[in-house]
Amino acid sequence: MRELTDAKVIESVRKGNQSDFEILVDRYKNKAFSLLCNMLKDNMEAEEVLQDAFLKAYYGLNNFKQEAKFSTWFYRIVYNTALTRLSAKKRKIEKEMTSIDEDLNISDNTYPADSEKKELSLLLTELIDKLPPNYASVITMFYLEEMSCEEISEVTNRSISNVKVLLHRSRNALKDIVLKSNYTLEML
Amino acid sequence: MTGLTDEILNRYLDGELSPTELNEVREIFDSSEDARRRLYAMQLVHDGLKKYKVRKPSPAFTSVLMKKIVRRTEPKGQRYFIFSISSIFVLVSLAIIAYLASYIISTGQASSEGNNSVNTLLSLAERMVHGIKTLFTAGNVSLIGFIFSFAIIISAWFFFDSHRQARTKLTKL
Repeated sequence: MRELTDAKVIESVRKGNQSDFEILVDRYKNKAFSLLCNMLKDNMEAEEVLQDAFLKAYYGLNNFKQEAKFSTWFYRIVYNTALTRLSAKKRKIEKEMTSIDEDLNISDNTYPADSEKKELSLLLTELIDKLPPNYASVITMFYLEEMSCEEISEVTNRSISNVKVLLHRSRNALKDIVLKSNYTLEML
Repeated sequence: MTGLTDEILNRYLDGELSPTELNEVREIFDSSEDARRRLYAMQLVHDGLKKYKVRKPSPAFTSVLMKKIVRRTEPKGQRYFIFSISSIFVLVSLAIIAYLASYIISTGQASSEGNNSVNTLLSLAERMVHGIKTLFTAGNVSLIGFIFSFAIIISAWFFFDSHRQARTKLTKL
């Protein structure tokens, strides 16, 4: 049962096998949770939003058209639910999400002093947490969800070039921090 | 190519450079230690992000969510049940009230000569009591009993059905 494709599981849920939805939940919960943690910066809130997103997906399953990928459709729900939550919290979401000209200033004041001693992946995790939601979401979808820029543009409703700009800026900011550490010296 | 910009580094990582651009970039890497350092840093970030660890929600997440789904579907059935039962009782009550009203009106027309308000109220109460007595005469009592028994049977069926559905959903989980 666990090897069933998303399409088969959806078909089964639509036929009334409510419990089969659990397969989809188990399949997507971790990655979607990581995306939400990076966007909302709060694990409790991320879990709440993830529940909302799954409930929306469950009740909207009849509107899902099989020609699209379930993952893209579902991540769009997750992303939009997170945006709604952020907007409700009055985090100046309009400014943060609609403009890619936002300041990406994570290099100096947020740079951990003991970063030299830290494992790189750990340092990167901390730094992603400090990225603004729009940058964090793109970088998480690209690396963790292994989505293409086209898929990310579908999920976030941005142009592909906008997605690339966000991705490149995030990488550049992270690279600048790594350059300041001695990681590169170790490699050279 | 004027210099090794971050944009070019990103395109290099994503494999988006043309063969000519690629050769130029390689030449820069061969000649500049700073360029090599920047590429290594970028490569480290790229590889580090690939190894980014997934975060997990609480272990009970799936079971809590599935219970929520069941619970959210359940109230629909319950709402139907409550609605059906209450509508039956409302209908029966309306029928009784309509009967009493028609009885009062019909008997009131016969004796509506100029009397004061106290007398009017008394006669209304009298007529109502008489109406209720008439309603519960031997023939009517069996009819009312039949309606109430019918309503109780219907309620029991709805109750049993909603209970059975809830149990099926719980066993599926």
